[in-house]
Amino acid sequence: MRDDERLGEAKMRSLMVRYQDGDSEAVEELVRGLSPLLWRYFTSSHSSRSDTEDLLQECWVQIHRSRHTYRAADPLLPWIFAIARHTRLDAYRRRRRRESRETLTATPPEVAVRADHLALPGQTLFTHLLEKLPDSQREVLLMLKVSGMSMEEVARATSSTVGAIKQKAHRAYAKLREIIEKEGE
Amino acid sequence: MFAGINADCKLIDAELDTQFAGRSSQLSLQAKKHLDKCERCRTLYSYLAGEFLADTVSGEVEHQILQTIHGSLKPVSRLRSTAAIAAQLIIVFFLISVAVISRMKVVGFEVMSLPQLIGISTILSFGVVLLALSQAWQMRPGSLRRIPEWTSVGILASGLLFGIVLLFPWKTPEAFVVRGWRCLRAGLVMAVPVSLVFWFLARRGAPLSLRSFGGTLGAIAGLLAVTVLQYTCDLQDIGHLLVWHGGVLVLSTLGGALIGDCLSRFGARIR
Repeated sequence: MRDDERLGEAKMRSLMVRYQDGDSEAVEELVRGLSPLLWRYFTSSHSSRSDTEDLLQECWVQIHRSRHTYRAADPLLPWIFAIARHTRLDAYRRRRRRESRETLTATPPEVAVRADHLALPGQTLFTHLLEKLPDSQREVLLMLKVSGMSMEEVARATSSTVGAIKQKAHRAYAKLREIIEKEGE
Repeated sequence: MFAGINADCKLIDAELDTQFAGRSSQLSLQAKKHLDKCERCRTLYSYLAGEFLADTVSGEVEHQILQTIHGSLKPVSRLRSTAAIAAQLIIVFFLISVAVISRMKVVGFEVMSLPQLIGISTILSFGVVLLALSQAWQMRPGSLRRIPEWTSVGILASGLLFGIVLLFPWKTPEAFVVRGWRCLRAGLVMAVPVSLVFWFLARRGAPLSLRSFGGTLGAIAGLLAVTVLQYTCDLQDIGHLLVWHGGVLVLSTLGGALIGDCLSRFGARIR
């Protein structure tokens, strides 16, 4: 399974180089190949489908603007996910700024958002558990599991070190065990 | 009650690490035995090693993305390698420093002893290499950063602090504020156009955090000003060097970070 993904990564790299050369077929293949990965990454951290769609489109705009910075010698997924992570953080900050400027005039529609989130087909209990982890640990687990990146690749994508990623992953495992135990009682 | 993690549970953590590293998808016999016994680990393992389910991207969204990209699709020239970018920044730093110093009186050279000259030159050189690499890493998303950006600035600041304290003497302040203010002002006046030169060199990059990118850029410009002041100032005592020369580095770094932060907020607002 993972060997196939690695082969896929080699193909994606060559597609990315063709994308840099202006090949429209390569772009189409790349968007169709990478969007599901990005979608899964954004889905797990955002509540509504329209939010996720906005994030995905914004992420591709950023990838398009930054495409000249990719080097064929480097792995592609860390480059893609570094941009995806930035897009997600940027959207989160914008939302917080907007919320801080807005005056609360009614009860927030918590129930409606929650219902929207649960209505997403295919959401698993795993996603529900992930929501209970601190942001940094959730992000590391998501990148490891959803994108299939190695610890070094996740370190690249998050501008961190392999040691720090390993530590966050282990803390996340411990926290998840704790949650599983509590929810099982 | 949470029972804590034993050595066998940690074995499952190691197995998950191996699977995430893509080295093996097979569980060891010992790990299998533990999973049979420990329900908590079994659940954790099934969540993390199992398939991640999520709904899919709609064809309409993909179509919109492709339409946006096709609208401005053209060949692009690739950014140079990290080493080449760092080397370019170092060379420009060296050339500007030499050009500015050669137009001024090099009083600092005459006042400093040989160990002081060698020591401080080594720290300044090490600093510019560190900052140039940091700047180059930030220009490319997904770069493997050996040293985080703010740590680079911290290492440089600590190096300068310890170097100055160890190499230079304490002297009774001589017109401490008047002479110091002159150095601070000259340093900051120098750092502003220099930061524009370095911004011009780094403009093709795609930094993900404008705050740290601006901070590093400001630090490089500040370091250049500190280098020029070091070789052209006749007041070579700890107090003057730390407060007024060091102040140039601190203020230019903070200024760069502040401008970067404002730009990112402004960018977020206009989007």
